[in-house]
Amino acid sequence: MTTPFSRRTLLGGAFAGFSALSLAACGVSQNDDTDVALSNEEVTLRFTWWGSDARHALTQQAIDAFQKENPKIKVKGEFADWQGYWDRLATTFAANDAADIVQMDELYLRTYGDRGQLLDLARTREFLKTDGFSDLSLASGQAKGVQYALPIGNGSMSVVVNTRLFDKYGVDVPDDTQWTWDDFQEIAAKIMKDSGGDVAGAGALGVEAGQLTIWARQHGGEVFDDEGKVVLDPAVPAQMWELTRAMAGQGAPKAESTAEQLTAPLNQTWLVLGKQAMNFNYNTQITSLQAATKEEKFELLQLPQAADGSSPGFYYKPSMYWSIASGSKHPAEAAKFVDFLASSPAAAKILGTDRGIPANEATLTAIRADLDPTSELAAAFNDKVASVVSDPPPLTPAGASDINNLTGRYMQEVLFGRQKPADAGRKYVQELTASVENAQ
Amino acid sequence: MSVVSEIRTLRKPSGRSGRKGRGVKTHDGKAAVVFLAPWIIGLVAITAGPMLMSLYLSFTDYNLLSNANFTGLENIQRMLDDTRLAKSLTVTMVYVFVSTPIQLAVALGLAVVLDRGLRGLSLYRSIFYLPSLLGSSVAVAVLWKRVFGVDGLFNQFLSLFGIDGPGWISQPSTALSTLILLHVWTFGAPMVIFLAGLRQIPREFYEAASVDGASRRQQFRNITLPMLSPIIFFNLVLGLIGAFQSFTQAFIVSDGRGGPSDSTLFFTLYLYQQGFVNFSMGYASALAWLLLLIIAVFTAINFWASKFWVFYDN
Repeated sequence: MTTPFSRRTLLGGAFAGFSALSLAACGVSQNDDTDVALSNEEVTLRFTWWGSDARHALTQQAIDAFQKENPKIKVKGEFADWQGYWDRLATTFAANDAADIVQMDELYLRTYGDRGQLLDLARTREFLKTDGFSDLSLASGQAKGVQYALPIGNGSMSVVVNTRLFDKYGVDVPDDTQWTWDDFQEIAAKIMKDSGGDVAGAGALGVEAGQLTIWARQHGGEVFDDEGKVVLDPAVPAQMWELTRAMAGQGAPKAESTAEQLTAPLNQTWLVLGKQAMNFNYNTQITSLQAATKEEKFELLQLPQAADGSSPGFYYKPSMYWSIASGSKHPAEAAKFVDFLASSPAAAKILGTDRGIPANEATLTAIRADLDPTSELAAAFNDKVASVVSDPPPLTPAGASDINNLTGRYMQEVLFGRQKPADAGRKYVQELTASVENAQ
Repeated sequence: MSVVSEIRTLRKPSGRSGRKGRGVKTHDGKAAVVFLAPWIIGLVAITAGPMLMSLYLSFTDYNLLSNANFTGLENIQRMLDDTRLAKSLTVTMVYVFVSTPIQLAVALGLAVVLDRGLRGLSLYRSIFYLPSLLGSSVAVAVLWKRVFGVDGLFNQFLSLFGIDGPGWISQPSTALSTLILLHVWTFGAPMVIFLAGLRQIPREFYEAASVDGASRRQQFRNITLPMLSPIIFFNLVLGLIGAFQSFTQAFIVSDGRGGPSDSTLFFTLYLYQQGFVNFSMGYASALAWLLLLIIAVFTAINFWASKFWVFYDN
């Protein structure tokens, strides 16, 4: 009976196989002081990103354009979908076989950066210009003063409004420079009531970390500090989920519908299906939301603010980043390529807004006239909040990359009545802190 | 060789025939080594070596991106304080010990029915076996999500009777049950093995019993069950081990989260999250060994308990 034994060991074996391969090679690459210079030889770079088929095609076009300009540099693209991307990225870095240019997300930036896996882009300044980026944008790729990455696109947490439903139930779209969370709750409840419960007023608040971060900043705090420590006051999530709980079934969907929407694809969410009048999304998501429906009409509003009128807490969050592996043998060429992607008008024309509304202002200007109407809405929203955004929050530290799921999980504990908001807030901070400490 | 006789051979006190064979034809030994080489190399390079490595990593703080530091028993200490680990163990135990017996009962029941010489047996057998091939696939897990959603097929069916069903998958109290159901549905593999086992039971036993006036039920209890007990045991061992390692279903249905609120957080899913999301690979290695230990203990208990109910015919 050999079958059970081999099946039993399969997990441990497969798992360990990967670990052993990776351990042998890790921890080699470090930032040192050697000069970053172009090679005289022909150089091949590896470039990895996640995304859809459309993105793969556009990116390949950009690569071709770059190779035409730089015949001595070859770029080999490697791509995957979101989930597979991170599993593979971790293993390739662990095996010291990382691509040279890596598309990064805020959730993982510090995980890689703090462990010496990403090149400090200050060292490649000669080849990688950052003139087009505002200081706020650049700051969103820094931790402890090191420029780990360059933001590609900028977004901001917003409330997406279905104007068809607002019209249908005779509710005025509020003045979003003034509105408070009380107004938000009231409007959502009114729409749900007037529709006889057919339409929810708003999606659940506090299902992910972006909303939590803004809520914390509106109450004078942050989730993390620049050292990567958890500094969140447990009262912050508690208060936020207090509102979430109060709105469930009274303006927002009931607990189980919220739970279902958490894992639903975009075109199956209630906002797109015309069953919900407002939802929290990054402004740049409006293009995908609008593309998923012809019947509904969407607009963007700023997030509501706290009634006491303290800081609105808004900030630009990069849609994604360019970074260079510190183990890259050709950092100068890699920097040249990133510079092409981030700043060249030719690349901007090819890539458009596929990776978000460009954070590079010169690039955005170059393509602004060609934007489709919903992308223009997103770009206009970025302009609109420019006067109220403040410094970006400190980057998510290692050990907290799962913060969105963690936040959604505790919110559900509250929604399903399994924990009081105060307890959930306390345990949430405990678990987040433990997870971050375990990763240090 | 049939499954029954195979198991019987394995259960014999010690392989007398094996030893004799080796003694007689020694030159076969070299050939055996040559033929075994691919397997041995695979075992050492792909299974044993990495397993030892993961055992070592269990005692480190390995995070994939930096060097592993030996931390002694810290990972075990961490397990003791880990409430999500406790939760995932509970979820897994419920899943394993509810779904496996039900699955085996369904498989046995259908096998008995099919064994009565139904017309088109091979067709039915294939149809019932199909879910086993599909059940752990991504496609079926996606389908499951659709069937048991708020507006899913199942609720549409219920609404025919005026019942307003909840979102079975999105509610913590029912989410695990849908996964148990999915597992039970994959009864085909044990069913086929049961069918093979039933075929091995001499018909004369039943004929003799019916001459003596035994009812169908008595025949089942006094002939079928004891004669089939080695097969039941075999299926039980395999089933428990397989269920402990379930991953795909929960991963797809809950989008890799184990939600809603950890109600489908399988042990393997938690292990994956620790290793590949939090990069706590040292801890994840320790968890993998914990799973190995748990499965080993339950399998040992299973073998020990088999003395009391498994009947061998020689």
